Amino acid sequence: MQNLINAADLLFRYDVMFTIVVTSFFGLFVGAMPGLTATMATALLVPFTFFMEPVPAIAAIVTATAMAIFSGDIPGALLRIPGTPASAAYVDEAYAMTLKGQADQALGAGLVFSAIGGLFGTAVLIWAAPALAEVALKFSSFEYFWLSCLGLTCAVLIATDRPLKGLIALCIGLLIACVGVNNPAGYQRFTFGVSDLLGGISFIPVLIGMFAVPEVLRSATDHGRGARIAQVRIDSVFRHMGRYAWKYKLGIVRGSTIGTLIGALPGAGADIAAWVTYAVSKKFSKESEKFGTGHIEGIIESGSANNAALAGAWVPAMVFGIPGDSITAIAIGVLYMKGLNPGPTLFINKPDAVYAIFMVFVLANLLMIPMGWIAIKSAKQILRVPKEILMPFILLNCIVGAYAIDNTVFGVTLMLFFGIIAFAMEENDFPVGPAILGLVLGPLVEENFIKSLIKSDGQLLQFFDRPIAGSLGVVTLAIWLLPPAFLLWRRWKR
Amino acid sequence: MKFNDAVSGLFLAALALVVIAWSRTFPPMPGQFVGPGLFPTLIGCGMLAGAGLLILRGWNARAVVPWVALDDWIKTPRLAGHFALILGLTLAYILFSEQIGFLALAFALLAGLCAIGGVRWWVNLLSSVIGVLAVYYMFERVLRVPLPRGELFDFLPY
Amino acid sequence: MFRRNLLGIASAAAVASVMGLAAPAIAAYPDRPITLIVPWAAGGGTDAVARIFGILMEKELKQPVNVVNRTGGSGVVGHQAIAEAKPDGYTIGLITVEINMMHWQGLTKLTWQDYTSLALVNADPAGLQVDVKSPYKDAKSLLAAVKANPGKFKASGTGQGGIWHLALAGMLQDQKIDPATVPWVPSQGAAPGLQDLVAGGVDIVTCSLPEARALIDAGKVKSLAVMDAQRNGALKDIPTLKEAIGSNWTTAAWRGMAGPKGLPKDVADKLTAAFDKAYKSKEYKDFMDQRGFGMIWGNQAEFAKFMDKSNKDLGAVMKAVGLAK
Repeated sequence: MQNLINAADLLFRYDVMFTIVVTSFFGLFVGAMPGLTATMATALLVPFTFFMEPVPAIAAIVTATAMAIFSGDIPGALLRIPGTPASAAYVDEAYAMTLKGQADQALGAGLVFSAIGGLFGTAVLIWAAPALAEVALKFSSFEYFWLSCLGLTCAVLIATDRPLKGLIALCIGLLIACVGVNNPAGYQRFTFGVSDLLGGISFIPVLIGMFAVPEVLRSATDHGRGARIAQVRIDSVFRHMGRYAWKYKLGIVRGSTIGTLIGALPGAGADIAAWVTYAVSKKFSKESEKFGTGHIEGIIESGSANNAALAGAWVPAMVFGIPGDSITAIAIGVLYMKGLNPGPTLFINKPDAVYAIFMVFVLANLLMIPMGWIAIKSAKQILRVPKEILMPFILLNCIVGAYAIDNTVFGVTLMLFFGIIAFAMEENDFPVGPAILGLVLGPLVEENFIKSLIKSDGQLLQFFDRPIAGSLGVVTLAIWLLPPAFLLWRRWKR
Repeated sequence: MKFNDAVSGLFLAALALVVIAWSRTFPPMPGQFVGPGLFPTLIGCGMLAGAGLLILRGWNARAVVPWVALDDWIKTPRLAGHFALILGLTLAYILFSEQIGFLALAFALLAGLCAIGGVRWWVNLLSSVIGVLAVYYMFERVLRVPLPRGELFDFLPY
Repeated sequence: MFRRNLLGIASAAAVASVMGLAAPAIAAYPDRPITLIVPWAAGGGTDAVARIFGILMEKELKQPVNVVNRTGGSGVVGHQAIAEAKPDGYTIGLITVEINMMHWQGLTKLTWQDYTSLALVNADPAGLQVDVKSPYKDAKSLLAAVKANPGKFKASGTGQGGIWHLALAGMLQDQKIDPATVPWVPSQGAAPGLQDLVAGGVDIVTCSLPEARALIDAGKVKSLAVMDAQRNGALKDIPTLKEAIGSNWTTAAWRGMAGPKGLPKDVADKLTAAFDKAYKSKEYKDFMDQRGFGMIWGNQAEFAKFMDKSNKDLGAVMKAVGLAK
């Protein structure tokens, strides 16, 4: 109890509160700008944290990232440009809602359930961090390999109406991920001698290119018809949210739980959490046929998952100094710099600081609701702009966003190239989502596959040797092989 | 432009074969039995199988689905022109931004596309200037993204 | 008429731009913002060092310093951007040990000689880590076991051919053990490698001590030796490799400030002076101590000499492991 009071003392001070408010505006802004991610928001904050006290320094990062992950939904829903990769999973769903004139509902759900997911993840962080971190540390490349294979299954789940084309799109994404020298062997693959391709194909330009550019191109092909954004007044952001929360309570708990767990696993972050929970939500929904047409259920579940993952990522970071995602990778550096060396001893030596950090999480997620409401209110103005003016402006934002991630014009080249590919894919009914998923998961699958092969000297049976890996492997193979086998058996019987 | 699945399938199968053939040329990792070619080969095989099924499906549907169906917009000069202009202006940005700089090219992009979209000239001028300056201010000034200055304008003080 | 005017304006612009290029030489350097390129991603150790330097330089040179991450290609893209920048002192960068490794692998033609060396600012020696539950209590018994069971021990800590891979291979070679005796499991850096160590996936991890510190403190990992001439200031219990097994092998990941080749002498001197001040500042020392990063200073000539030696050492190991082309 004394620790709690000390922690509150550290937290509820003018300078700390001021930091939190300023960084939440900053996080909202960065998250909503295409091409600038929550990770980037953290990196941009680091130089300022040099000159801050420990608690406000961490508060700045926690607040900015929580806000950024939510506000990535805003351009995603309004313009089909995912502001951060964590919004990519449900960007099509949210945009479909906007086209139906339900932008307020899509964004409101994103906001409210982001906050709930964040609070859920925080609760886990507070009560279960040491135990959960111990579990996460038991995962070696074998477990990761099977988990990432399970992740690939999501590609087929999100494209249930055309699984074959979904599978092919997934292969395309996995192949894009193969380009460059960032593979376990460190060998240059498919670079065509272009030095810009050495580092692989940068994720953000592809993301922008595949989602936003086809939309801009399509606007050219149908002057005055189709794709018209319904003009609505967004004044009812919070309406129906209570009803949704009750109706989809199971999904919220499921999404938040899966999100926190994926976040706690080193190497997988909010973006993967969003994809997986979106697919899971669709799989278990009573109305899965409505997914993709502007149905709120998936947004609720994966919107809560990506913010939960954010808190989950701090579990291994604080307990063992192992980053749960790219944001905590930066934050660990800041923890060290501030003398809050991560490790189990942190909880014993500096309990007041730890409790203060926990309080920041709660505060940031609560503050997200009013701040996010302001952000939605101001961002919705963009829907009033006529389409002929809006579309060129979106294109310009795509260009700058694709440039900003690596500060090179090659990003714009990638954006254009993959924009054209995605346009061709969508014209021919190939879903884009699985390709993005392949791009996200490709490096994870390959790295852990090759690692496991090296460790086991090529004996595939060793992939089932460890207890957790074995069970995951059996589950994965069952999910992959049972449905086709069942189908064949039924056909044979007939 | 919509292709029969068999056409897309043939294209994808060709892509998969190229990937597999190329991957086979990658050397193994020094001192180890696996190499960088393994994973792309596996994906290539998966893609080849998928493409095969697609070809089969397209061939079965050849009576109802034409090999290639052109959309109306390609035959409408104004719409095709708009489409080409989007690609052309983006390409121009890619090729010349180092020389000409962000401000001029971004303005050309906005103004050009608004013009072909049928925006009245004075609205166009106003919105394009505001648009460029807004993006410039947010990215360059607030977020310190070094947008291309343009070597031709190096002498300007901004 | 109009066209002629336009031509006139264009040629005037051309003249002005040439004068503009010449101007910095006349005006006191620096008179506009400086770009500091980091070849690695935002948030990593290199990025953190560059950013603290950026702030301290700003104070010293009275011009804004923009830290720009040019990532990709395992560092190739950023290193190339530094080497290819205009040698006017307005684009410099923080180069890292990889510059002495990439050209051996055939990833780039760039070598350390393509830069104007300005200052060496940091070096982190490699440590030899095992799981705390491992039966090997010192480097000697571990190496004896490695020698007796070729192929049984797997090691990790960075990607294939990365600096920590070479640290291990160099050490083994120095002990007359074939580097292939310990297969390398490539990972995306030290943290995933350490995690694999704790999860029981690999047996040995070589990486720098600051990277392993949290897990050492948590009692999950123990470090058997550090590949340096002296012990680490923060972790004094860990013996040097020399003390542990009598080997002279040392490896460190280092970082240093450099500009493109052909930087004017006065500009280079001014920058080195600014780095010297920044290096000696309390802020830099506090920052490095708290992160556990190793401080080392080398001026222009010393840095060049240091890179030359590092280049030859690494080249020899890479040829032995079969990584060099």
